Amino acid sequence: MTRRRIRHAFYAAPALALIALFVYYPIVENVRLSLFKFSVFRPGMRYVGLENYRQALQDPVFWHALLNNVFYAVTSVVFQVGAALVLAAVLEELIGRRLRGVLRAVYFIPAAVSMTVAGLLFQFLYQPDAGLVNGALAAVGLDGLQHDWLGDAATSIWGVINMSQWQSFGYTTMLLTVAIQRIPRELYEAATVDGAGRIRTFFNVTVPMVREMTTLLIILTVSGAFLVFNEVMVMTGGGPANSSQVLGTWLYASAFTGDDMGYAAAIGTVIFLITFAAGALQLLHSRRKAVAA
Amino acid sequence: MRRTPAAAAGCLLAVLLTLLSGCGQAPVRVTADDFRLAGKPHGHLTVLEKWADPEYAPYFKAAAREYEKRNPGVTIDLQAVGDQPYKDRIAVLAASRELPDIYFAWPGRYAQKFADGRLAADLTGQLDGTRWGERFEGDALRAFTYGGRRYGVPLDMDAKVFAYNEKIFAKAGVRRVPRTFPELLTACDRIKKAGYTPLAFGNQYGWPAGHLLTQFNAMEVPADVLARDYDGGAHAFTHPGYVRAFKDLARLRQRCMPPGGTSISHESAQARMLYGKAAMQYLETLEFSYLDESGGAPKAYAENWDFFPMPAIPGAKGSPRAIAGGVDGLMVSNSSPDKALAVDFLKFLTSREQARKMVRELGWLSAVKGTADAARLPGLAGAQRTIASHDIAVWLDTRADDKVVNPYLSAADSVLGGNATPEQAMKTVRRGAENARRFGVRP
Amino acid sequence: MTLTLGRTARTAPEPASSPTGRAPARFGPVAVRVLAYGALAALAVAVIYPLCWMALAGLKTNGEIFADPWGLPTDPHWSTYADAWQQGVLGYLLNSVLVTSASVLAVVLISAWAAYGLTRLDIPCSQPALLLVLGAMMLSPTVALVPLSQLLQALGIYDTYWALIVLYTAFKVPFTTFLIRAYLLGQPVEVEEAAYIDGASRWQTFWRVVVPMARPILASAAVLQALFAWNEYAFALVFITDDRLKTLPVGLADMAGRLNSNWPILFAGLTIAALPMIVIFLIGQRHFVRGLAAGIGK
Repeated sequence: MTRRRIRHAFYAAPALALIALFVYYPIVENVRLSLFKFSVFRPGMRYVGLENYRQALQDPVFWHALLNNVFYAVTSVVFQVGAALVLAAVLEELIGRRLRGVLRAVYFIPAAVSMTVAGLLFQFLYQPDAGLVNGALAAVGLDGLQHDWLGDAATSIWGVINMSQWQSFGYTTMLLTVAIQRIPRELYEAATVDGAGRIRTFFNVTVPMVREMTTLLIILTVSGAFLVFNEVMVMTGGGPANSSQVLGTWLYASAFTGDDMGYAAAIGTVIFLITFAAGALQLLHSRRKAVAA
Repeated sequence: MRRTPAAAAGCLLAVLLTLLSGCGQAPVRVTADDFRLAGKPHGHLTVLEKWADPEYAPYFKAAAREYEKRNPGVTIDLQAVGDQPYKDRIAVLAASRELPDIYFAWPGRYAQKFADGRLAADLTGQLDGTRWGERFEGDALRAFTYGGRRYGVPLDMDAKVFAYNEKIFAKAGVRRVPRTFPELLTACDRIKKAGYTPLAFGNQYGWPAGHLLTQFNAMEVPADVLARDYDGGAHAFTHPGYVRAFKDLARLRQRCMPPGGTSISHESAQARMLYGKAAMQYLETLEFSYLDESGGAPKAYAENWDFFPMPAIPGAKGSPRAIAGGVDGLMVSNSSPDKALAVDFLKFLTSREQARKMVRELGWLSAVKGTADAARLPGLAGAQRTIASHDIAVWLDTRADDKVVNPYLSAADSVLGGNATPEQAMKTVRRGAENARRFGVRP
Repeated sequence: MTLTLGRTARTAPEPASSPTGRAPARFGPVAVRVLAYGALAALAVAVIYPLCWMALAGLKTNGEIFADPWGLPTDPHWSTYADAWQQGVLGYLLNSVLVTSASVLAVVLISAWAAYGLTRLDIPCSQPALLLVLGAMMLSPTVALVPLSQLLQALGIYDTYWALIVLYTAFKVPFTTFLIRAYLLGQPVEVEEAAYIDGASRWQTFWRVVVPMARPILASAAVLQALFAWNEYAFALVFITDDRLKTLPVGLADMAGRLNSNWPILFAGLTIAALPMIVIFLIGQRHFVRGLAAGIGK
């Protein structure tokens, strides 16, 4: 019997080996490395305890990057969960079935385009002179708002965040539509019989009934916002003056440009803790739901 | 489904502990410093450089093929990547102690890291008092000298100058090339009045501002102070010349550059000058080929341009003959199995014949003496004279400590964007330098 | 302890066929509907216009793009697309196809095995193993760039296709296993048992019964993995430096740097890169949506 059990274990072995080696080990090793100072160019590592974390506390760029991640998370929740839910509800309530499918597909298309493509495209759209964003502002008489969006330290991160909303809201809208479709029809009929208006129905029926999905999306969006890397690298590289730096790009810059591998590992640990917290919330959430069900 | 959470945790811990076999930085495997070829050149070489630009890449490929042709027994795997990818890649290769036999180096502390880490071969014996060494301009050779030892073979020399459109200067009534910094600013005012952008400037990647500051710092701060500060000395960057340098940058920004942001790329800015929208651009002599019709410039520009170095700044305490620039070089890996072959290939690459070919085809200035007359490009001879009569101040972003560079460029961005005063900018730099000392990587 | 993570994913319906035949006309005054239509149409334009503009910009000259960014190309330069193709887009595309298909295959196979083993077979240490697999969903190894690069070098696969294939697979095995496991838990065991009793080995049962039965979820998992691997950037940036091995996301960014400001070629290249996924999405929309609905746990 034991021999068969061991043979059976081979089904799970590849998965376990891969996960252990490429997921768990790097994360644990990362924590260990964050306690050292070392350079890729020189041999040897110096144990410094929590020095790298102290360095982070005193590093204004680190705090700025963290703040940018928070902006990212908040904006993404507002648009990719809040606004997307309204959009999904409007699509379901007001639009005929065929057109609804078309619109949903159209909104989704940017999500099928990679971040690199979207980032490079928007980098041009934001150009101060020939860019379409400024052109569009001029066309509607808002010349005063014209701006060097990515070149100004005050707006660079928002340029990136806006692009990311453009790219991702269709994805969440699609998911929320699916969730709305799962709501039993009777609830809406009951609400109509009670004389509830469309807006009240939205808040009294739709919002509570898709709460499961919105909670999940909020958690995913937040942890995604702390892992942001691609769009920032492509669009601004963290500049100007580190104004659009996020934790991911600051980790990369510290490791490969600044040659401070231990510090980079410490930043990695901070990102890890934040996303782990989000993941743990997700687990707790689904656990509670399972109990409730 | 009958295990307890405790058993689960135990299993997990066991797996993790077995995985936790810490691996640090491996020592460098230094091979013997044997530079004598045993018989005819023979073997395999790997080369990694950063001239991936379609304008430049063919020359280096052809040079490798030529060497292979002359030495049938030799194969060369030459790879070119862009600037930033090069920095990342060489860092990773250095970490894994798997450097190619020959690799690119910027002068300053950038190359010094390789020398200090014993990753680059000491070529002093090959370059000092030898016929090979005598081929090079002294300045170029000194660019890769650390502690009196020579680690790099210089290939080309580069300096930063203002290229300008003569027609726009004439239209704006700028009769002569500015000789002092205030004259430059006045010229900008005139050009602006005539309806042109005085100075095209694109700082998307930060280094263009870094180059301006390299120039201003060298002019405003005494050379010995500058060298100590760039090398990471204590109480660095306190000389008042640094704040003045940022003030120079701010004045240039205000009076010469277009209003609005500077987030466009250096190349986009260049297009503005080439197509007659802007009068000047601060650019590298290596870029002269782009100002020629053969490099794609419109005729109206190509036939009407000239250049001048940064004019003197009255009252500056630094070196008035300084010119921001650099030397591009190649290093030999200290773990290369065949250093003799690597050196032989470098000798070929820096032979007069090959160097003249480079000057002719790429429009670069070679670090090899007696090659400037091979130039096809107008302006190159003048560039050579300019470099010869100035002292090269190596690019701040490769010259200074890694940790200082990011705050410095970031502070420059803030000054350009009007978000920081020169004094505040210098405070940022000093804090960066302080952090570099406190949290430095030095083991 | 039991893990009941499967709940969210299992009941994904197929939206296209779901009977939400709510009569839209029943609601509200015409004005509201007109307003809604207008807003939705404007949003659709804002979403799709930049992409169409990008495709058209690939046909313009640099001068046209700057002088009249909104205009149509006066004299379409189809050759620009050919130039972009030559600038390396073809190579990047092939690399992406290779890495994506290999990792899709690997992740689906390995996860299906694991899910099968963990749901249907008696395995030693199965509960901790399950915890190990599913717990990994909460971890993001992208933050461990430093140790990962050391690890890949130690394994000698740094700067090879394997680096990406292995990482993309390992990174997504936890979630894919979770997805397939949840699906299998909802399926009857009887058919498998029947096959097993009929003399088929476990291995044969897996291929002949389990895989066909799980085909919908396997397809969804494949779609999600393809989307992930096709667009992944951080690993591809750090672990691949040989230009010949680069995948589209990093290759395109490199190309943008190399081309300086030759915008038409860049936009042509971006369009070529974007097109396959858009087309695949439009063709396989139904499946795609189902995959996404199943994949909300990401």
